Amino acid sequence: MQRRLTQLGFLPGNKVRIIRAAPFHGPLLLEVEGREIVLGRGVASHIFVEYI
Amino acid sequence: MRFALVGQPNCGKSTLFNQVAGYKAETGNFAGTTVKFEETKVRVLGDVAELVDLPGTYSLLGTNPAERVVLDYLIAKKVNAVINVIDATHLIQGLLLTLELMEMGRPMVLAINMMDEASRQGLKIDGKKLSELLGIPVLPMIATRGQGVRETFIQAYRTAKEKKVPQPQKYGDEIESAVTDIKSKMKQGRFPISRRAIAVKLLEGDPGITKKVEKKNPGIIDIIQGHLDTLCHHSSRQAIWMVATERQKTARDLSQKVSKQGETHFTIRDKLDDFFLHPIFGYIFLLLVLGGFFILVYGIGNWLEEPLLSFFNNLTDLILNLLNAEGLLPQLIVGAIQGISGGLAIVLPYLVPFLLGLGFLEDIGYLTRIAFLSDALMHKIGLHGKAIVPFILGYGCSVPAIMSTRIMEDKRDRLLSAALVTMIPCAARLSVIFGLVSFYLGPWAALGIYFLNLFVIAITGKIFTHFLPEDSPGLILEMPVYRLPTLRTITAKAWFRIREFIFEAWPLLIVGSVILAALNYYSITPYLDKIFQPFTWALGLPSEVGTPLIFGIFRKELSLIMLAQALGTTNFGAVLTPEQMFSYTVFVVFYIPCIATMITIKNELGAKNMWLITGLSMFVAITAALISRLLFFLFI
Repeated sequence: MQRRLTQLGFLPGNKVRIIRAAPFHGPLLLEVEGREIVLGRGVASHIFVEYI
Repeated sequence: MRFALVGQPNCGKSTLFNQVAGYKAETGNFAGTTVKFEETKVRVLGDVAELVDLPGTYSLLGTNPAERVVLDYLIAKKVNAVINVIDATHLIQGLLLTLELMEMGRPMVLAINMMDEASRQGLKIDGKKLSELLGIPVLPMIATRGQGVRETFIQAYRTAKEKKVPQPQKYGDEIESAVTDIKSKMKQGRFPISRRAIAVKLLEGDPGITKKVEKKNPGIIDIIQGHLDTLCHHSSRQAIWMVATERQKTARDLSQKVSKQGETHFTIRDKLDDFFLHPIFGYIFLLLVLGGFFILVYGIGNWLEEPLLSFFNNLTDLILNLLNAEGLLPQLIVGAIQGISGGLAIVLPYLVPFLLGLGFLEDIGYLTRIAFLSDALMHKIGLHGKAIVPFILGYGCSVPAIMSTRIMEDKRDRLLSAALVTMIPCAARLSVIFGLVSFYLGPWAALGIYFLNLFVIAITGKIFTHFLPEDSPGLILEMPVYRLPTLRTITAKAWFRIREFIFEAWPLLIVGSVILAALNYYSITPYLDKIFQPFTWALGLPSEVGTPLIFGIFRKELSLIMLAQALGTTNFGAVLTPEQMFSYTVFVVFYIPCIATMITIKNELGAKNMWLITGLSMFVAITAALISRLLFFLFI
C-alpha cells in the first residue's frame, strides 16, 4: 500500500487538499500534486498530515 | 523489431494503439482499462514492427497485477524501443515514469499526448527543450485525432535502429553511491534490463527482482539491507521515498523549465463535481442515470424485438408449410432459423444500446464518479468502490468484468468480486430476462428480477465476508477529468464487444440450435433432461427445460433460444405459467457461469477458485429460484 501511495504522489513533504468527502463515511477526494485521487477512509487514516 | 507502448493510466496509450491497429484495445476514461496487453503489427518506413500496448502504470513499482505486467514484460521480452506516452496536462506525474523508464537501458521516445487539452487549459510545453534536457526524442501528439502518430513511430524506428540508449538522470550522492556499490556487487553477465535499473529496483525493495538477484548472488540481501539502513539513518526516510522524492524534484524542475502556464481557463470540472458528487443530488442523479439507462435499453430493445420475432415466426410457419413438416430437413432448417432469430431478435436489440450507453458513461468519466459515490455502499457487502467497475461491466459480459477485477490489489477482493460478478445478469442473461419475463410478464417483473438479483448478491457478499473478513486497504483511485467522448470511440468500443457476440457466440448459437433440433427429432433430449431432473422437479418446471439449461452453460442466451426448441414453440406464454417463467429465469441468472466465463476465472484466479465459484453459483441459483417460488406462492 505504501508503494501504491508513493506512486500516486503521497510523499513526505507534499501538500494534500481535501476537496470533498462522500457521505455515509465514504471515501475522500483529495488533491495531491495536481491530481485528484480518491482514497477510502481506511487508507486515508494511515496518512499522517500536518494541518496548514 | 518490437515497440512497447508504456504510459500512465488514462494517458491515451490505447487510443494511440487503436489509431494504428484498427480497433483492438479497449479504451475508457478510467484507470486500468487495459488489463491485458494487445499486440499488433505496424508498418514503419517500409519495415514491419510489432507494437504492444502495455497496461497503464503510474510507476514501475508494480503494486497490482496489471502494473506488474509492464515491468515483467520489459524484463522478459526484447523491446527495441519504448514509446512512452504522457498526458500533457499531467506533465510532472508523467515525467516520473519517463525518468524511471530511462533507467531501463532501452532506446526510447517520449510522446506528449493531449496537446489540444493542454492548450485549452492555457498550458504551453516546449518539446524541443524537453528533448534537449532529457536527451531523448520528444514528440507532441493528439492521439484522438491521429496527429503526431506517424512522426512518433518514425522516430521510434530510427531510435531503435541507432540503438540509442538514454542517459539516466542522476540521483543525490547518497543514493548514487548505494547504487554504484550494489551494481559492483552483482555478478557480471547479461541482464535483461540495465544494471542500474536493477540496483534502483533493489533499493526500492521490489520483491520479484530481489528474489531473482538473490538466487544468482547469494548474500546480496545483506548488502542491500546495509545500504537501506545507512540511507534511513542519514535522512530518517525510507529509500523508496528518497528515490521517489528525488525523481519528483527532477520532474518538477524539468516541467518548470519547459512549460509555461498561460491564462488558466476556468475549469467547469469542480462545478460539475459539486453537483455530480453532491451528498444528496449526486445519488439522486445516479439513480436517474441508471434508471434512465435501464428504461432506454428496455424501450429500444422491446421496440425492435417484437416485429423481428413475429417476422421470424412467420418465416418458420412458411417453411413448415412449404416443406413436409415431418422430415428431418425442415426441422433442421427451423432449428437454424431459431438460432439466427435468437441472436438478431432477442440478443442484439438489447446488447447494442446497452454497450453504446455504457461506453458513453465510461468515456465521459462518470464511471469513476459512481465508484466514489458507491464506496460506502460496497463496503456493506465486503468490497470497496473499485469493485463497482467489474459490477457494471458485468451487466455487459462477465468475461471482461472478471478480467477487470485485476484493478484490485487484494486477492480476497478479487475472488469475492469475481464470484459476485458471475451472478450479475450479463447481456446474454438480459436477453432471457427481457425476452421471457419482461415480454410475457411485463417490465415490472423484469425489474423485480434485477432487485432480487442485487438482494441475493448482497446476501452472498455478506455471508462470504463473514467467513473471510475484509482486510484490504480500500479505495485508491485517480479521478479523471470529464472528457467529451467522440462518437467514433464509443461506437468503435461497442462494436469491439458486439463483434465477440456475432463471431464467437452467434455461430455457436445457431449450430447448437440445429443440434438440438436433431436431438429432438431422434428423441434423445429426454435423456439429457434426466440430468437436470432433480433441479427442474424442485423448481416446479417441466422436465423438457433440462436440455436448454445444459446448452445454457455454453452460452446463456441458448437457455432461452433452446427453450423454444425444447418446448416446440416461441410462444412461451402458452406453455409456461408466469411462476414457471419467473423461477426459470431466476435460475438461469444465477446458475453455473458460461464456459467462457469459467475459463476466464481459471486464467485469472486458478482452477480451484473456478470450481469454487461454479459450485457456489449452483447453490445460490437453487436457493434463489426457491425463494422466487415462495414469493409467488405468498403474494400472487
